[in-house]
Amino acid sequence: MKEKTLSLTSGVFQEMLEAARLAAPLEACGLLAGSGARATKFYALTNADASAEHFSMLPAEQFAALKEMRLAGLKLLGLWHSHPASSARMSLEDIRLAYTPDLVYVIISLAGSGAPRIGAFLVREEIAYEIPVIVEAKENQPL
Amino acid sequence: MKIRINDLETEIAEGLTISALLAERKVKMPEMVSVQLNGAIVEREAFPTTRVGENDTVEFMYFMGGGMRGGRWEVEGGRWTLAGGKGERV
Repeated sequence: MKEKTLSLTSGVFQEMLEAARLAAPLEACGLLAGSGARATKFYALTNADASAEHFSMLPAEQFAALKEMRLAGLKLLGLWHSHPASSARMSLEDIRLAYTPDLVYVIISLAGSGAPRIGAFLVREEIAYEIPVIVEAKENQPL
Repeated sequence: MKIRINDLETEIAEGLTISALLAERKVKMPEMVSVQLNGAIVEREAFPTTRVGENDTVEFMYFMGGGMRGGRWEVEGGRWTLAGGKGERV
């Protein structure tokens, strides 16, 4: 699994972080789309559970996002959700419910007082493998 | 007959129900799949009786969820719910 990485544009990362912070203390969730291993589009979906401990997406929103991705020529790359008060690791339930093959499962953690943490995982036969995440530098950012 | 499954044109036998189509496509854990037929979500109870027709568009997507509590997820009224309410902490 080490050969695979996930890149996020700065905009995607910022949108994900903002959505996670807005939803806290509840979990936020959504999808990531792009090309190859580079996520360029972020989708915030409703956490139908409105819970601080679990999330589920609404099928209607999943289908709508997928349709929009196809129209934009993008591919579904990953599923993201936030852990408002725990680490950026997959829980046993996250792993058990990782049904969609070949997706990258991204977790953004707001736990603690430091900078948010992000983790990305591939799941094979109920084992989570962490892969590197690259957050791209903001375009036109002054040096 | 021709239909589109997840945006790919596919040839299938005539008269298949959604349940039969999921089985024919060897979809693993079909109980965790949401199905959209021609843009409308098909309720799970209707999988065994809803037939797919020529040029229909079918979309399959797996349940997407997770969390700190384990349990059995069931779909009802267009959304997934954790059976029994709270589930078991994992």
